[in-house]
Amino acid sequence: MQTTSLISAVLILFGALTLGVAAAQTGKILALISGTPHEQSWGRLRILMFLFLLGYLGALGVVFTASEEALSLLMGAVFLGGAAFVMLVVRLGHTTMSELSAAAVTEKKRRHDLQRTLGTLEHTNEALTKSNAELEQFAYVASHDLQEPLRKIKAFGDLLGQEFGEELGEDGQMYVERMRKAAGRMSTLIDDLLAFSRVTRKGEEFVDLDLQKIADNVIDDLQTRLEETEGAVEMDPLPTLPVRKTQMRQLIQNLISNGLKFQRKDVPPVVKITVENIEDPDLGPMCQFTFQDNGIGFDPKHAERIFGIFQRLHGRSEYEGTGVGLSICQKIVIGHGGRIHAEGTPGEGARFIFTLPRERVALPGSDDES
Amino acid sequence: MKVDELVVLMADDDEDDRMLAGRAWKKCRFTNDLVFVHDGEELMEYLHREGKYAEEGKAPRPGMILLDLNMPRKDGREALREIKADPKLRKIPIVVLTTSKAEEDILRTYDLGVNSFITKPITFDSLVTTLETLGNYWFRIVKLPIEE
Repeated sequence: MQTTSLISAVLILFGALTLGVAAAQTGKILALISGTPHEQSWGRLRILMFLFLLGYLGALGVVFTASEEALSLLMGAVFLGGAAFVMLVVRLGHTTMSELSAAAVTEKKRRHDLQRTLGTLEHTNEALTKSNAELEQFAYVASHDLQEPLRKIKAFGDLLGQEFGEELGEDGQMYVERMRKAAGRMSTLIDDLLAFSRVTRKGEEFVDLDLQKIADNVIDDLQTRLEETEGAVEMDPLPTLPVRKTQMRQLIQNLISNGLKFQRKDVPPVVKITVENIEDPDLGPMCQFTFQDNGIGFDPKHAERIFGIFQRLHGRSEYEGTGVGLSICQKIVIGHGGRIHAEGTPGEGARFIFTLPRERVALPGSDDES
Repeated sequence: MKVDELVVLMADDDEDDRMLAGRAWKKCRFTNDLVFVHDGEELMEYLHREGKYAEEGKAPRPGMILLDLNMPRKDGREALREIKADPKLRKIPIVVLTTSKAEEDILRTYDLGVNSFITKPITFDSLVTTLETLGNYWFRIVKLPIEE
């Protein structure tokens, strides 16, 4: 055998090996693109590569049999096949690349759109926070300024009664008295409105607090009321949760005194507080509190209405109050990242159920930073 | 100067409130006069005996100042800060008498050295009681640093 033939055989053998490895590698590509329109083209390419490999082995045989004619014929075929092969690879590469770049453009556009949506959302949120703050500022200023003339009506009414009582006569004095009482009611309304607007105006820190202590304190304050009505508050041990202290106190106080207030005639009021841990699908791990009373209850159709500001279900002469207490409760619970709702049965009692997050949560639009 | 002769100086821009306070003060039957200024600026003029208060005897040193917080030109907070920063004036007891119930106002004015903070009483009777209590406390119970 000639030296040239031997070198040629070794070169072809290495070529065949390389081709074999490359053909095997296409398996990886096929795995990546499985299920895409490219799978077929790459599959064909793979088959072609193995055919080519067979051609190499054939060439090796020809080298050994040393048939000059067959060798030149095979050489021509290999040149053509090689060029066709490169052509195929380049075309495949081109389709893949153009798709990739199209995907990149779409991705870029999508990102851009997302950025814009985010920007709009942020802007809306900012505007909303601002208008909310303005509204609260307005309520605060309005109620503050409204209180002023009202105080004068009452004070001058007092003076009128005191200094001209006799000239006024019985009817006159009664009118003045009615005027003063009306002014007093309006004053309470404004005070409550002010308290309502202050719930969010006064951003307080969240601190881990023992709610049991707060509730005990509230019950201490309500002691006279409890004795007068022979009422009672029964409760589960309350947990320690991250809350705003004065707000939590107000929430517990409003709900307990609410339960005591709407007492059935001749039935000593009992407020039962129960607690359980629940998993809220949207809000995560929560603590659920239930304040159940044995009072007059309410028609379930009013379950949402009673949380509205200045909403009352009874006449002033039956039960006092302006209808702000529960709106404040709702505002406090929502401000803590929880939910509140009410259930009632007329003549049997009412139930107020609210949840508070067990862990500290970042609240959107909370005024902690202000 | 005797305690009975000390005047009470009230700074309030509200005419109705000045009138009501005047009536109520009369009901309390103190010998002390209640005099009025209309805003913080006038209050400072009175205390420094400037402008229309420059004339001798026109502005007797008050034994107590009743100070409204929200007033035009110079409000009660500014006037309070100036008075409490002035070594000659800071011994005069100042009682804030305002419509405000805001916690920040209460904290801020006590921070500035106010002696008491009172939210304006709503009824005329409670106004009389408040002024009576103030008069009794500052002119009869406590000893005031009387100068001049």
